[in-house]
Amino acid sequence: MEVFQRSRRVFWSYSPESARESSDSVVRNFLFHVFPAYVTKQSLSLATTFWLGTVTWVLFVILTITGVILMFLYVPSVERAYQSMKDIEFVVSYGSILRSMHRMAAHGMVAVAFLHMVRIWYTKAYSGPRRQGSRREINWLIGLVLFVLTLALSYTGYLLPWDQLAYWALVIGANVAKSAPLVGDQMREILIGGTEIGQNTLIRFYILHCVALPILLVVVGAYHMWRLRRDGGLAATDRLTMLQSAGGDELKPSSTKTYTLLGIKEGTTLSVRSSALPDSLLARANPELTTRLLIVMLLTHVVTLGVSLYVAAPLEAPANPLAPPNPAKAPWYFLWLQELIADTTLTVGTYVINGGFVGGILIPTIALAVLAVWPFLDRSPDDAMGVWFHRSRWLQNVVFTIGVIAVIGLIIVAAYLRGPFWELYWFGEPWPQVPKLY
Amino acid sequence: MNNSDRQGSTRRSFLARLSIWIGGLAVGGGVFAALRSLIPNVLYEPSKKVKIGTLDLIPDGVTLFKDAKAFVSKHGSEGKTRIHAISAVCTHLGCIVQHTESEESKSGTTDKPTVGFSCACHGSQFTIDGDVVKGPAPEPLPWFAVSVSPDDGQLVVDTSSVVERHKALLVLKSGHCNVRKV
Ligand code: HEM
Ligand code: FES
Repeated sequence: MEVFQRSRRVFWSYSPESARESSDSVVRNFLFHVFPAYVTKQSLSLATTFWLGTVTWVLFVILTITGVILMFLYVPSVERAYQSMKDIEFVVSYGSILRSMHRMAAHGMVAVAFLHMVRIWYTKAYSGPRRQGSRREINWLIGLVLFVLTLALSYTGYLLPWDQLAYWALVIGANVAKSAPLVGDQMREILIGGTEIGQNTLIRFYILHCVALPILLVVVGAYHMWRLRRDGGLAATDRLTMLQSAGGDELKPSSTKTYTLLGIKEGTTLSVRSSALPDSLLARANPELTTRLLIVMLLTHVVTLGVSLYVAAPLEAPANPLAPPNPAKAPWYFLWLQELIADTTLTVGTYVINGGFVGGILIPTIALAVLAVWPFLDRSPDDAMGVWFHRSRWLQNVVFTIGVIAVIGLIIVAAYLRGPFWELYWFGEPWPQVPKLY
Repeated sequence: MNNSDRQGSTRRSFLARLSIWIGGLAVGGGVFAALRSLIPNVLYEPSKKVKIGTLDLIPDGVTLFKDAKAFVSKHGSEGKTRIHAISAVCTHLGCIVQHTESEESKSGTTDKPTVGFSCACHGSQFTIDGDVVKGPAPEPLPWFAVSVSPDDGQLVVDTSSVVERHKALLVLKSGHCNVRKV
């Protein structure tokens, strides 16, 4: 018991005696420093966020840990990469679970980050009362960057095993870059480090995947979280404050202090402590937020591990530069792009524009641009902020839903209806035999 | 502080501007050097000119030659052998197309333009001469120059030299250029 007490003092100095003390830990404890002292109960409620952003972070942490272990086992060389994947699968103790966790968490991160974006849209959480200095739109833009980074991490990740999926994804990706007008050829060359896909290409994408993109994601993600504090918490909190003030209390923005890299940024925002939010609506960040956070972390971990025990990460045949699989299909989150690429070669007069450019660059860029400017043009009333499916936004929500359904529809077409030589076959219709090459 | 006009540059403001310039140059130079180092000056890649063997080793009909990533078509009649090479790299996004010619089109019993090559990636189809039949491919498959290597008589496909079709055909009299140096 004595030993326990002692080691506890070394490793875990935190033992609050009262609610007041546990709340104070937010300013005393380095890790807890990211939290405000108080949050609204509303923003802890499951239906406000479904904790989707948090789950995305947890998945990223799982990816980092499993990824670093995988780095000890994987050799980024064209000759040995595939062999080291086979070793991880069949020789290394627990290797297949490790690899599977990394892959499942990657799929999960793409899916959950997307759902997080969908939740932001339907709750109009991308805006705040502008007069009070909230600029939540910026966080929406940062979020878009994070989403693109997440996709880039996935893409560079599944290239590394150097199997058929990897090789042909690289061929297609590099040539999509090449199909861009004017700069296409240079883009392709810089991307793959030459004119042909080989060792230069692998090492480039390896560094991007293991170093450059994760660091970028952490930096941009940290800014995402900082802005969250800067904007005074979730949109749902702003809504509460506004309701309160409509009830007669005066709405006055309070001055805020947020830490920046080299100092403290002062400003004003509506914040939890600002106005007349009664105590009954508030909760101490510690332990109310921190315990929930722990639960989310545990559940995410359990689900990821559970799925990984049953679903193995795919590993196709070793890269064969002469024969793409037939049909050759991208992972689900890129299938809609593959379908677009296959359908959008345009003929304008005598010019033919490659579908690689239209479907692979133009349409995604336009989609991103529309998403980026939308919050700035959204003229729906502040009432719509922080509630699901507000009536004033029904048209916007319908437009967005159509977009989401279109993407999912394209994914379903590409996943289930495309057979050998990318021909259409109905669900369950048998595919013809195609000759096995080599 | 002298903030009245530009001419009144003090030693302090001069040094400030100088250090901004030097700092900017250092950062810019560093970034440029870092990026430039990623563009290779020498490519250790296989030659774009690929020897595919002497005439007698090349099968009749259409054959995929792996190193050249090209289909070489060889047809003989009246003591002459006609040879040409068509790129096997799909003009859409670079997958390798398959030779999917049907039997009747091989034997010439149909004169409809039929499919000669198909791409597994997004379903482009080409005639046996490389013209697009269907699918997202924006251009026909290019034809490569074929020549006879002067040293050992092997045929050489130059994948860096795209040529017009009527110039691409290599016609050899049988028994010509057929010697293999041992
Ligand atoms: C790697 C990806 C991302 C991570 C780790 C992340 C993380 C988070 C977290 C933890 C929150 C707190 C609230 C919540 O959990 O819902 C949040 C809020 C927010 N996120 Fe993200 N996010 C990511 C991507 C995105 C994307 C793709 C968008 C939109 C394009 C976005 C826009 C926002 C906005 C606007 C808020 C404020 C929500 C509010 O005030 O209610 N984020 N993010
Ligand atoms: S690469 Fe051949 S159809 Fe797309």
